[in-house]
Amino acid sequence: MPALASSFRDPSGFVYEREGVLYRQVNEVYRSDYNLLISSGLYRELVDRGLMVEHEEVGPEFASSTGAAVVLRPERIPNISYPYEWCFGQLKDAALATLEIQRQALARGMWLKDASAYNIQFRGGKPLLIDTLSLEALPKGAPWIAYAQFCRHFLAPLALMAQVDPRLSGLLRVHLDGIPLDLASALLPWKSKLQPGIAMHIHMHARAERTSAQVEVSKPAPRISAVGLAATVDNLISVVNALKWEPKGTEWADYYNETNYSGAAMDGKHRLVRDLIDEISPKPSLIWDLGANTGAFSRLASDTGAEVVAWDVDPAAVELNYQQVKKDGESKILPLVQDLTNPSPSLGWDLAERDSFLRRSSPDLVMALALIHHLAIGNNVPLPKLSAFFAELGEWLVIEFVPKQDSQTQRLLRSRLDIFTDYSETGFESAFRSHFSLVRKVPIPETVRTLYLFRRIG
Amino acid sequence: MIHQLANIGPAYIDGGTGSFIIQATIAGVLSAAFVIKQRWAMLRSFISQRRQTGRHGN
Repeated sequence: MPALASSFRDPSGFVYEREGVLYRQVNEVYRSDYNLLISSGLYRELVDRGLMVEHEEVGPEFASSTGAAVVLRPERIPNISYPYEWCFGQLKDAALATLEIQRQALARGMWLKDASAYNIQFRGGKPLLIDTLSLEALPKGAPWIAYAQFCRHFLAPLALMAQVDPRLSGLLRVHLDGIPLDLASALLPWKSKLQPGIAMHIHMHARAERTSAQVEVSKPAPRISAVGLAATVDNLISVVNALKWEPKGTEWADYYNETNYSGAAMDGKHRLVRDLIDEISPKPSLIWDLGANTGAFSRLASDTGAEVVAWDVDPAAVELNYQQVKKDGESKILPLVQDLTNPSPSLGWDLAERDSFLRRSSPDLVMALALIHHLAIGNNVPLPKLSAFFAELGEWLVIEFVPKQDSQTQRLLRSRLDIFTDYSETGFESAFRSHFSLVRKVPIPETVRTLYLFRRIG
Repeated sequence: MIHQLANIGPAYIDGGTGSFIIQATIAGVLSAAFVIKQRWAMLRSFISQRRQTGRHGN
């Protein structure tokens, strides 16, 4: 069985899939580290605290190739997401989880040999380490090998999001091994040089990287005591904790107040959406809520028992949604940032390391509420192309048509020529019937909008 | 490729020479304060335990 396309850098082992089940082969070279991970109690401690993915050991007959010391069957994470899709709070919690794992590892004579943000995934609303082989025996006196990686993957984007603009997390999509520290240093405001943590870990760090070219290659790395390592991790925890970002005004924060929805209309829409979801058989187990805003309808969808991925273009709306998930312990909603007009592409080596938005998972139901006018009019996407896009995503579709008479559509047309001759209820239905069969159509009371339940043809 | 970098041990990512130098400097600066912070936390925990024991004893 070949390794997954993203699992090739670390010679300690790799992940592969066989008959739909995920396995991790631990190679002979990692055997002693794996034994220490288990015997030190670190694995159990991290799993029990929800900081690391659980696995079970299976027989050698499940090995993918020769050289296997152990074969693991890890728990599968249902919805894979990437750091460039996380809001500030998610990246911060992922950073703190990484540092806590490092702290616990140091206390047991181990450390994280890498600190990639891609080793963290969200399960049940919380971040956890999915790469079991990231932990190894602590080499005595060595500086933390993954320190620079931690700063590039977590600290630099967090500082940029907190102190410049939350949209700068998009730089992680360009720089897959984290934001180069010289770039972060150049983009951060000058006052950040007065903040000791940012000054040390980003500005001085970037300068040290620049000047290190003059250091003799054969020179051994400087020694750092165990106390020095623990002190650095302790300081990084404080620095990350001090970085804060609260959504002030969001593109959509006042959306529900500004629509032409009355309270009764909103209640009616809630009831109708729930009715349409309940009509789907078998009951959807994975729902994608596109344009989810702060997640009002994602919550309604998750109340049906489904896992919900709540995508939205606005990092502030996703932040508010994530904070709600944390506050209420909602384990079935994963809020993520996504610009549907330019969705996450396949990235990395051979364009196969990080899956595109379309290849991520296959939802049973896609919800697109109060979204179509933004795509069709705000982004000039013709209705037939929208129909094809939604048909590629999932079998079922709950979609709200927002006609030209609606105040929100009027707003989009206020400063532009109306070139959208096909944008009407008839044009919409005709376009979507080429990929879907219409199951139900219901007007939303007290509005000019209509809800549709479609099922993909074939 | 696995590097054997002096005292680093086997590593599959490049830790970066500049990073090691700045890390050693930072660790040196922070260590004393960290030890004091740890001892202070231990002392506070010890005092609070003594107080609790005293209260239960009375």
